[in-house]
Amino acid sequence: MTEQSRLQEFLFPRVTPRFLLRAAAVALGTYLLFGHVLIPMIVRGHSMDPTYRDGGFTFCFTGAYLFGGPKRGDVVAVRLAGRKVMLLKRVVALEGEEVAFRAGVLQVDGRAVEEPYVKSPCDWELEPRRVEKGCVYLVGDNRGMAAEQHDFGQTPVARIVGRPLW
Amino acid sequence: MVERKRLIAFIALAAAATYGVYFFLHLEERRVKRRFAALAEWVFKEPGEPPLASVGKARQTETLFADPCRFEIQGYEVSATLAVREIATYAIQGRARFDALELAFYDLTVEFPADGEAHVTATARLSGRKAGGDPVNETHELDCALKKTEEGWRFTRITAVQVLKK
Repeated sequence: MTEQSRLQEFLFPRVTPRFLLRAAAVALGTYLLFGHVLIPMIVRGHSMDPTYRDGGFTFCFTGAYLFGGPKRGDVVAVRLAGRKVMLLKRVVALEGEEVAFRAGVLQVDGRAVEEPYVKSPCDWELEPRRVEKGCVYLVGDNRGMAAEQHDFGQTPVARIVGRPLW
Repeated sequence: MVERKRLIAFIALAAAATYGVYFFLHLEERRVKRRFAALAEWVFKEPGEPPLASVGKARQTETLFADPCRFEIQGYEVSATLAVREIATYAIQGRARFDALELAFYDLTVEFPADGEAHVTATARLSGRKAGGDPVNETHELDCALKKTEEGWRFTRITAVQVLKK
């Protein structure tokens, strides 16, 4: 078989049952992988600056919490009505813990928590509140935004779809 | 060769029949989804839109909402039952605050709890620019109820679901 004919066969393969089966297997595999396991995500908005910038790209790995729940410090993707649009936030407190902000410093169970991922100055004030059963407390990394404009709070763990791959 | 042609014809017929059944089974669902597309079109505002355009849109209000329609925002304790005329007035006032506005819906799930009633969950993404130039980027999970009238489906309730509870 000449180089040219091999190239021709690669570009224009004969449609045989074997070829159709392989094409179907590839299509199914791609659908399962990128539709359910590694969901492509484009970051929109600034609530996770500077960790995830507006326009950035990553994958949401849905298998991340198959063998255990999210931990404090994890960045997680939270579903809304479905998985096409999700919220990207960081877990700052777990079920039963008391969370508050004092002069912009995160406090969990009364102790200040160091957050190396927060780069912007913050002046948030939030009265202590306890994270309900089956929930986690989520906040974005961009604390330079006014607290009123920043979407944060507790949500059921069941809403967490996975975590970004990077 | 003849056998192969018969097989191809049979597969094509089976595919057409499957699509036909699917089409008729989901006819009402598509009608409900078209109401969401109409709502997005109703909200849409391009930069430099003439003021009269808002009045034209206000006239379309009764084609979208039942009289009255209930609006609720969970977490902010905001709820109001508004007549179509009030909705149109609020819509004109609200649209005047924006230079550009675009509403998109994702992950629409339609259920029919009773004859002539539809329950829809969706993710709504509102983007654009305020009159002062500040960008708008809001994402909410919506829980909606619609009822079927002689003129078509109308919204009877729109609730913004609280995903993150501060």
